[in-house]
Amino acid sequence: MTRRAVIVNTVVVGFFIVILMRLFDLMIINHGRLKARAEVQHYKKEKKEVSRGLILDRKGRELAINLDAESLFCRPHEIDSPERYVLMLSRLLDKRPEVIKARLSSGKKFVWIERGISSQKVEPIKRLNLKGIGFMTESRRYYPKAELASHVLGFVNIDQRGIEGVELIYDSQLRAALRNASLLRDANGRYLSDGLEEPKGNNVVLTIDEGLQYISEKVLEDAMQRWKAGWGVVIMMDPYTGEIFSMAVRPAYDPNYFNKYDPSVRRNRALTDSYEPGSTFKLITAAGALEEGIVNTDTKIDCQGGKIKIGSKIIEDVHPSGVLTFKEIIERSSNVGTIKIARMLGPQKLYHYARLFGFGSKTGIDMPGEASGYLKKPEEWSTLSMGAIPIGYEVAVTPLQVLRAYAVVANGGWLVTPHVVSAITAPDGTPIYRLKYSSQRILSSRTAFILKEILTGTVTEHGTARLAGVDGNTVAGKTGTTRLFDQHLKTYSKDRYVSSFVGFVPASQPRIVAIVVIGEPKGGYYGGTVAAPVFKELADATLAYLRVPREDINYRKTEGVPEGIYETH
Amino acid sequence: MIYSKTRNVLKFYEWFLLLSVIIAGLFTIIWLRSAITALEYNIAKLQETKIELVKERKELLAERASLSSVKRIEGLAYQKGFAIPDRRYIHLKKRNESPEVITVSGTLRLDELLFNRQ
Repeated sequence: MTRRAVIVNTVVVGFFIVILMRLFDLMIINHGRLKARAEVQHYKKEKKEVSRGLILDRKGRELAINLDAESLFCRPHEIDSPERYVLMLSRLLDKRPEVIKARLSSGKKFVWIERGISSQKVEPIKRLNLKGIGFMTESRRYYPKAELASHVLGFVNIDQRGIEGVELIYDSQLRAALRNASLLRDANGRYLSDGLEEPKGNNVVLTIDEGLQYISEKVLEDAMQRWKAGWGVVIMMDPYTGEIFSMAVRPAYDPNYFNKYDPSVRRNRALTDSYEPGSTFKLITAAGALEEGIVNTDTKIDCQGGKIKIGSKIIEDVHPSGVLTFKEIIERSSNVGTIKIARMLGPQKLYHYARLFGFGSKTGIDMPGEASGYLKKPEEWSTLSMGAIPIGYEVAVTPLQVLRAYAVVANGGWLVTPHVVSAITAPDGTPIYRLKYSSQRILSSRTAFILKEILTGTVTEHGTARLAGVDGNTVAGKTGTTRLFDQHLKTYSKDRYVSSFVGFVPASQPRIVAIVVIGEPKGGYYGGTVAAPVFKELADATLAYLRVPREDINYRKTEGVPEGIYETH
Repeated sequence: MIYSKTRNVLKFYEWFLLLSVIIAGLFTIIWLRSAITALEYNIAKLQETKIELVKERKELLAERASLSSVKRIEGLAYQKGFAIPDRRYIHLKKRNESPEVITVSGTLRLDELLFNRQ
């Protein structure tokens, strides 16, 4: 071997030895340290955005969905000269320079500059390619039907947490757990896929029907304008299952811009506000008296010309009468007759039946903020109480409590638990939860049947709810008119009323039970004048929507007429 | 002697084969690794496209939900001269059975409901 060959061999072998030594250093000696450093550079820990589940109506129509929105953030420690950015960003974001400056110089590791930026503003900022400034795609809740069912749905805050309504009470179901993801990226900062799907929350299916909700809101809105009312509530429920078909509250708000409204507007008055129910509460006295066998439909009671003295007060009837039957007392809504029946029943029994119908306690509806109302124990009653409570004064109730009480008569004696959520499904549609109906018998079917007959009588020519009658189907129900209590004057107001009507239709086989409450109407105040016509409108449209047949037509099938459509005799 | 020569040749081929397999194996591993990385890039790219498409889908869903609202449809129907049908002229089949109770899971007959309660 020549000397030159030896040198070349030595250099080549030496070169490989150096490489092997370096490899040994990298892969054995410093392996742990370098691996840790590489992982820091390759992996970036990020909070993966979670899509909130959808809220759907009973027919699967979307009531709350998600949209993607870009949010602008900065890492102040990466910014060399914040002053340079301030003017640019304040111009593009249409924000005061001081606000931007404060955020850029906050000294924190991560600061939001603005969240949920409109798409028009995003591109110009991205084009600037500013160091330490970035965008993050966030989910934003969107309510496509705007005001529709807003008091039921509620809303979420900027961090997608439920604040009101179904969004609040089912927050844990709608919101999937936030996932901390380690994303692999290369030297250029490009991300490599982790192959994992975006986490999603569960969907909530309501018992609300968009069509019925719209009908309720429309008739309520018309009534609000007609009577220049301060507030109003309409609730519609399935009397057998307690499923809420609609819950309309006025004044209303758009949950997409919830912070522009006063909190009093966002309050769900159907559940949170109590009022004195007036004559609609006479049902309790009547039910108790029938159930205890104290009266029957034909029992005659002297209504003393429409006046009765209770303690130092004289309580009068709107339409003075002499001797009336029990049925006529309820149909004509006689205060005197009802008080006399309540006296026969006694305070303990009256209280017992009021409690049995669910007054003074929450209905158990799956909505937040429900009030339990107010019902005094007999030991706390004054001399006047036996004249006030039987006719719906000195007792505070929510519209939902009254509705539930009338559902007992409609369904034959069962007290149901109202619900707004019927099912919860996984993102792929697999059912996780289905509503279980719960009810308990509180009234005999006989008493419920008699009461149904009597309530049908109130919606006839000589009853107080004549205007609630629906063409083609029998309505059963009761009107209520109460004066509002003035907290400042400590007396009942002379010009502020609450008018209500609660009923069900068709009376023989009810499909819906509904309540209409109009607060502080102007130009009229009787439940029969203000609320009953609203119920008629509501029932007319609802029966058509639900395709409930008329009861006054005989049907027969005709040759050539398509299945399901029949002509009359 | 001949046996020994043949053995040496076989030994050479064995070594050559072994070395070839090792080198081919190494190259395969490197190729697989780079192919996986390329695949990850492709998936990441597809995911970006998917994100864009999902975003578009969400916007379309929002548009569909707004367009199909009962309020809007009623307004459009009125504009086109339609009116809510009068119940006096809608004749429905009267069913000779127990009344139905509407439930989300389907319709439930009243007698079934009462039976389930007991």
